[in-house]
Amino acid sequence: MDWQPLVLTFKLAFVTTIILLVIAVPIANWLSSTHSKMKPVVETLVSMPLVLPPTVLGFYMLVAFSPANFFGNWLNEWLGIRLIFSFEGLVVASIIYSLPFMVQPLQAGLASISPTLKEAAYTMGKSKRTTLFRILLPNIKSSILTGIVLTFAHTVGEFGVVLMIGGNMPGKTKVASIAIYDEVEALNYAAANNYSMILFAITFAILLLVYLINGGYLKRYSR
Amino acid sequence: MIEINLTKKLRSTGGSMLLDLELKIKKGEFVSLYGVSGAGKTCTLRVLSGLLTPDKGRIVVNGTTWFDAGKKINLSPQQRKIGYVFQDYALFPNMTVRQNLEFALQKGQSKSIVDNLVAIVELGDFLNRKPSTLSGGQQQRVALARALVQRPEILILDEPLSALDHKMRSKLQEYILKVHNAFNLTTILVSHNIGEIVKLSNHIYELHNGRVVREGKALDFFNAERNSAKFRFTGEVIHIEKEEVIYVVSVLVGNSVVKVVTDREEALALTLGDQVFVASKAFNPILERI
Amino acid sequence: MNSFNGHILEVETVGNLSLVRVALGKNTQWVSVVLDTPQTAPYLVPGEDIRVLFKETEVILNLQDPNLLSVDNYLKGTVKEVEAGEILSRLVLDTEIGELVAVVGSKSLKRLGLARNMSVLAMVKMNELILAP
Repeated sequence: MDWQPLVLTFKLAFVTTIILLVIAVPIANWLSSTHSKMKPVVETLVSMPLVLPPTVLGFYMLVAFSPANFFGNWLNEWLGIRLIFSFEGLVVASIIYSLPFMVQPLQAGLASISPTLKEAAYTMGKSKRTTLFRILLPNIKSSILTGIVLTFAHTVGEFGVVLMIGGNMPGKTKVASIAIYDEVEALNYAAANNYSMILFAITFAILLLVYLINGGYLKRYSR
Repeated sequence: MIEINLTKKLRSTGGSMLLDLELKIKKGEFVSLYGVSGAGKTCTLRVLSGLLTPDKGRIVVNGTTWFDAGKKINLSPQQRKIGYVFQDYALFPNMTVRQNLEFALQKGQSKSIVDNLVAIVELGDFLNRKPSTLSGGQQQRVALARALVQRPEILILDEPLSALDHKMRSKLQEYILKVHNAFNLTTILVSHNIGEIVKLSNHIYELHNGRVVREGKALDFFNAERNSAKFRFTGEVIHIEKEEVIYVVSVLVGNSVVKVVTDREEALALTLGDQVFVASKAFNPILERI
Repeated sequence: MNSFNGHILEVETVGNLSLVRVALGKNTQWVSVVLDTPQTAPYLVPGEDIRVLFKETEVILNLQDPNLLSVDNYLKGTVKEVEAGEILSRLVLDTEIGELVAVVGSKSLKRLGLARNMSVLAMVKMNELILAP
């Protein structure tokens, strides 16, 4: 069996999750506290990947990142980055595609914290930054965990966007979900089953762990 | 001296209201804001502490301008030296009592103030506990101590004792008076409890629909209900019963129930849940050592 | 609670105690002893309007010479209504200052033979009168 697609899948999911965590915290923090008129627009944009067919997203990204277009050309000329048919492209696409899975749990978590906690910290002379890192985030640990795991699992399961933007290049963009598709196409059901079983087992284990932790089951046993 | 002169349009579930304030609070005073829910009491505390920005006007504290709409001055809550005790205490659940207190320390401030406050409000036994494991009264003491760590000149108390039982209340009232005097604070209290207001404050402002409708010294303020009866409490009517030609009204005072004999007219004018004064002349009650 | 309006005639203060004489009607001047002084209760000045409050249950009914009792305040009335119970009875008296309600023991009611249209003296000790501005 070729392990490369699986390794690539988890590498992609890992990198995507880390970057998304960094990006999503300020977005979620802004969304949970703002009264701006832009809020519904931003919320809609963040949620779009939930409802759009992945191929639509993939298609537009393919167009945008293509060196034949202004943006793709600019990236290529000035930064030397080619986002189509490359691992970097997959990461960018996955970040956009999985954005709601990170932002929404964080936003919900932050919104559930009593605003007086934040206000109390402000009246003690603490900056917004200090308040975010020392008060807000430590109190939404379970939301952060949910966001991380959903993002990770969702990236692992991604197919349409990856296929559109990454193509099917072994070792570069051929992730497990595409490998399964390939094997099925080739009527190689045994290999498809191997990939599928491994993905199934790992995602099950990850989600179970989250529910155990967030449900407090592990704490109960450790006491 | 705190001089507040401002307006702020407030939107709430019941429509909009104009907060239109003119207050002058002397340094070292203990001031209470009194009034029905939605009168603008908490909003007053929030504009003073910078958590709510007024539309127009000025806030000047001890000669320093904190807010001036005309000159576009608006100090952030971080820059205003205010100790704020929130109604829900706002203790940080992720921190122990000690960490809650130490979080409030300013850059370079000595930790000795924390130990000092711990001693004053008697928190020594709970320092390593998380807030969620404390009783309401203990949480309240943590919130009070934490508000004072940064040595504010102004202490704001937003209905701090409303969730506590009677006994705990009177104990905490003593803590509040103790720190008010010990730290030379100017204290502003929001409360619905007349007994508490009279016990704690020098000066009272009554707010209604965003305006001060009445103000006065604590002793004079509740003058309307005053008479020569010295044995007086406020309570709530919980039961009315006819006995032969008279009526017996049960009144909940603090956490004990007292019974008062009344004539028909008075009894019929009362409904369950009414707030009443129970009063008698100082000549009537008897005392017995327990 | 019986409540009558009147005005203060004089205030005599000794220490923290004051004896306040109040005019309630043409022939009715009552006194009340209070734990207040004109300093603690600014309304305690002659000429000030004041309400006098007292409990129905504190009213004493008397058919004899009031000067033989240690009760300072009295007022003549006519029994207008009697509501007799087993233990307590409620009487409404017509007086020069208005209707006054008295609640007395039913046994005393019988002993005194109180009935409608009888004349009777209503008496209240001075420490039972509450003054309210």
